[in-house]
Amino acid sequence: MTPEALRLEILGTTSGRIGPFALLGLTPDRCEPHHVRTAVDSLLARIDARAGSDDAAADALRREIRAAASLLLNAEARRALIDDYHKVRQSVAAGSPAPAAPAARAGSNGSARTASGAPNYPPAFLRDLLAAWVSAGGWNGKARHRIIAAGAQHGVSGEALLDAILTMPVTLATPRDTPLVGPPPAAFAGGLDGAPALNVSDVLSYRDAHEAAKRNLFVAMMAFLACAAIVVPFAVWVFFQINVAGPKPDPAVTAALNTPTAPIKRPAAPTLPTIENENINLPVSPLSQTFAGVLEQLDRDSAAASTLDQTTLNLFASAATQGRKQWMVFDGAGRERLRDVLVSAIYRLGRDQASAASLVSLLDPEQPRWMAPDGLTGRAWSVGMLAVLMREPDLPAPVRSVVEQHWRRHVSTGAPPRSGDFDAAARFALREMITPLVGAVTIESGAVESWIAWLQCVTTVSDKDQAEGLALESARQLLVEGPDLSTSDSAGRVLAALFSAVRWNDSTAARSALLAWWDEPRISADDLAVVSSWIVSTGAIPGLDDSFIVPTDAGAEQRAELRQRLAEAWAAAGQAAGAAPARTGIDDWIFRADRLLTEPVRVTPEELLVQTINVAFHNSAAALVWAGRPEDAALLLSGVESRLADARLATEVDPGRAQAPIGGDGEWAVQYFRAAKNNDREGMKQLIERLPSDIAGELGPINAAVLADIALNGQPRDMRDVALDTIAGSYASGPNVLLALADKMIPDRSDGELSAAIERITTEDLPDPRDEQWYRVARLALLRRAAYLRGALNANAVIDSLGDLLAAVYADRLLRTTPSSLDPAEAAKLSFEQWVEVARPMQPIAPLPATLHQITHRAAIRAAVLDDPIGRFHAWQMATLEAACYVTSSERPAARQELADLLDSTTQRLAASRNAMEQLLIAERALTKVWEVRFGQAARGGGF
Amino acid sequence: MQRALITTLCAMLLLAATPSLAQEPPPAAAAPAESSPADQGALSMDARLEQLSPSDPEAYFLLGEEAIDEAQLDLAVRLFVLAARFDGDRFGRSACLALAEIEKRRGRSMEERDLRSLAALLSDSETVESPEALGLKEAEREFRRAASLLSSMLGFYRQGDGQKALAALELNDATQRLAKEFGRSFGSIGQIMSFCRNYPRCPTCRNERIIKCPSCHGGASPGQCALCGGQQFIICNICGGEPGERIAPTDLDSMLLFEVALQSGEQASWSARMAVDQARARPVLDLSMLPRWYEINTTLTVYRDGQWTMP
Ligand SMILES: [Zn+2]
Ligand SMILES: [Zn+2]
Repeated sequence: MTPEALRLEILGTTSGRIGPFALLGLTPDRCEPHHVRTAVDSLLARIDARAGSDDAAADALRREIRAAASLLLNAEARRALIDDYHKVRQSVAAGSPAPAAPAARAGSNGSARTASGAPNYPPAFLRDLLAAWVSAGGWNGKARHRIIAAGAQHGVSGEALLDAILTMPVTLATPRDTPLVGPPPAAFAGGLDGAPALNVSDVLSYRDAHEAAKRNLFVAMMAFLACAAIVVPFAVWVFFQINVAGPKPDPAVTAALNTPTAPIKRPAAPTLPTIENENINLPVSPLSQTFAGVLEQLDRDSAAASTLDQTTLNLFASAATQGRKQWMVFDGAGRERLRDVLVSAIYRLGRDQASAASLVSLLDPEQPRWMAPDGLTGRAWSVGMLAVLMREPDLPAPVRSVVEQHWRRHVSTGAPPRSGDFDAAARFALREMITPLVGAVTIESGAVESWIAWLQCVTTVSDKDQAEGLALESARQLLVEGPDLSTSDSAGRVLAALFSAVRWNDSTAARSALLAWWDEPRISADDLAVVSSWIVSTGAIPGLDDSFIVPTDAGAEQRAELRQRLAEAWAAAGQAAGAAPARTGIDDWIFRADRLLTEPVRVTPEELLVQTINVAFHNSAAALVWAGRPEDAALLLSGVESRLADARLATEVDPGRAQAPIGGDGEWAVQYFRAAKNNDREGMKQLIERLPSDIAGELGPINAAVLADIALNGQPRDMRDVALDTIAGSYASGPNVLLALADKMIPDRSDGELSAAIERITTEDLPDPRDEQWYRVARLALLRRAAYLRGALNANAVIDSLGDLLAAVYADRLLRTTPSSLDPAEAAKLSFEQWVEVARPMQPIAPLPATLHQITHRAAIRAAVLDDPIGRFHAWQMATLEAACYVTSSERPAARQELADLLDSTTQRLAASRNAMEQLLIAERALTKVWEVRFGQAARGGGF
Repeated sequence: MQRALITTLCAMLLLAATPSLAQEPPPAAAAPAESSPADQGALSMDARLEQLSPSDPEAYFLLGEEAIDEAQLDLAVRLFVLAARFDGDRFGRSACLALAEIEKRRGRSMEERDLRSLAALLSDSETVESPEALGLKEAEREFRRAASLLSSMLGFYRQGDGQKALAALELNDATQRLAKEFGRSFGSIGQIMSFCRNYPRCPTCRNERIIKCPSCHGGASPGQCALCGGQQFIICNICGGEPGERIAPTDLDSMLLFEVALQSGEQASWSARMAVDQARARPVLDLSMLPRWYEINTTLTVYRDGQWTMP
């Protein structure tokens, strides 16, 4: 039976928004406890008769009925409900639209309400309520004491306290579908002086929605709170407790108040019940006396001993083992002392292979279970120590080779750290651990402890920026690849621990990382819900209330909107602190962009390219402003002039034109012909082999042509190999020789020797010589090399360095790390893909200019048609423009026509243009206009 | 836009060696009359053109198909362009495909490729054709092959081997197009080819560069022959060891740059590419470009008294 049908049958209405009176079929005149009990019994009996006991709809309705009954069975609550009932009646009589039924609201006089009617408890009080619940671990006696204590502390009356508990879900959480906060439903306008009303079925449906969503602990707790069936009796219980206690505080209350450790002042992260910050920031201390003694002894013994004896080895082992385990709790001096003693001992004792091997393997032992907390601590230390040893210049050779072996084992992947720096190397090792540790969260419950140990190591070897960077990287990976936070308790705990290393309000890295999560489609709305709940509940970022919590079914538009609020919250906080607000970033950007767009179009390709780069810089700055990083945008723009100047300067470099051929060209060729005529094979061979010692580096055209002839067609055949070998070995930098070789090559005649020689000369990979492409590719490789050596490729090098700059500017707008040097077309393609990632979750009704699939396809076709480097860049630039229009028109459908017109006029301008560089400028300017539209919308307030 | 769709190719330089492109192949089937409706089949093409009205774009399109069958390709082009102009949603894509077919008959693979690509861009189905299916890869290969042939030809020319140079360059649409590009930068390929015709190779050394001493006929012993100094061989006294045309170093540089850029395709550097085409504008693939490509005035929509005029 559907819930609707059941409701209709039992209650006579399908409405889900009815109050306790209507639900139980009672009126304010007939709602004494015995009325309530009779009504409940009869309703429950009817439900039993209609539906099976395991029917979910029936269960929901039973709960709803019991909850309504609990409310009416409480005298205070009943009075409030009756009050409200009459108020609604009056407003109906006055002609205002009224809700279908009165809503439950307790304590209408007890607490202060703002003019707009929202309950106005001290925010600290609400947090403390929450904290009380969290720290007590649920609705229990402990929670009761703490809640009462919190109420007393904040001067909240008993009635208000009841009110607060009953409305807590309204105040602190965002409902899934029904807006309990924010603009009240139209039906309530004016009726209940605009106050958001709590009605039983709202609470229940809210609870159900969240149960269904199966969110993390925090959200589950909100759902738990929202469950009126539990909250109401509890509230009543609290209420009676206060009444019984009277004006004199309950001793338990006083005790709770005075307990200094009671975590009431500031709630712990709800996802983080067992992890305290102290655990992460370990207290450091000097070396203990015993350990200092061990080191002292080791230092003395190793200095005295000439070879490694067992006692010294034991001492070394003990120092190394303890160091591996405890290095993080030693203070800086202690760590340094440990390092010095061990390194000195290795210098002194690692003189033979066996000693070296045993010493180094004590520093870096095999670790089958490195992911255990101890294990990863030790591993980070090992890698740090190896890095220190790698840098030691005079290490005995046996040690060096063993150290290098161990080092390579750890740095086989990724970019190796700078050797010599213990901290950097340890950080490298810790970074390498992120992926496996994220994997471990999925499968192992012990992973939390490992993560704590990892964070402890990170904070020990990093400054705040570095630690934050690693924590953010881990958090991102956990969100993207880790288990769903709603199903994994440990993932939530790890995340909260990682967050403790992040300075949400003071670091641009943290801001951009967090903002990027909102744009990252691989991070689910479920996970964002947990993250945003955490932010709101901990007050990590000021100015964000519960409406910031991401609904689990949030689409791309909603995510974009909340993301914007996040950026604005920071901007507002920054403004309060005197920093430049984000809005100024936008205004400043628009001002500059307008100026750029009205600049007259230049004429020469170089000038046009410079102009395009200028505009591209502004588009990259726009992406940064949008990401909430106006400072970075300003920084980027301030560097435009100097980077352009650098690019133009870089072209002065000459690749070094090969030396002019030596005089007497052709003499050698004459000698060779003579030897050939006499059939003097040995003489021929020697002439070829000795040629480089007579004429080094490059040959004149005659000798070059003759040598190339020999290499290609020489008779007897073995002369060819000798000639090829000579060319590859001695004339790979001689353009005359290489050009002659290229120009004398005949299609359809290839051999492996020739192919190998050309590969050697050009260092390019060639296809198999039997491949029909071989001739073309091999010859092109030679031509390219010859042209390069002649300096021919340098003709218009300023264009190349400007093109590289354009690629760099495009790379700057990618909000993630990219390869250091990118081909312009590749960079534009990445930029396009970044837009696509933003666009993918969007579902516009009228996509502009086409569906995402079509845009991508068009881009591929354009790139294939415009198959030269400039054209290919232009193809991806146009694709970027289209994707940007898609995103912007999805975010703001009202701007669709404006964007469509922009695309049309861009097409016409591109077609009218006679110069490819001007086309680049036209497209780049169009992108600027799209950004203006996007900012224009944001400027109108994010919402409507 | 300097599209070469309608404008003459640089055939003037290559004319001698080129089969005439202007000649259309005969219609594949001599059946246009049978395929057209009987009542209209009786009417002349002119009469049927005069019946056209912009309010019925389909009629333009259908008549365009008949014009292809009757080998009136220029007329067909105009009719398709007009149909696409009147109702791009309905006829844009079909018109592009029909025009591509015409270009195929005309042997202009690049234009055909652009039109097919444009048709693909206009496709509103979710399963759009891949670049391979559009023949883009095929066109690309053809282009690369042509670039390679041209480069080989220039290589042999540089080596003074006119005969091989002439043999290397196979003249087709793609190589002519490249020759035209080359002509923009360096003067004509035609001149190079005529040089090659006049200079198949050095008549004396046959491009060996070294010849037997003409004085002692290779029989001198050391110090005895004044000409060869007893070496028995000398550098060719006709070509000086460097057969062929002298090429100034800067010209050689430009030539190499051109060849490398063309053959490198998208791997070329921007500067190399610019040396090839002087940063000429790239084609804009958009339906609104059709009239521009074919230089058709689309305000002249009706046919009266043997002319296209405004209605
Ligand atoms: Zn000669
Ligand atoms: Zn002689």
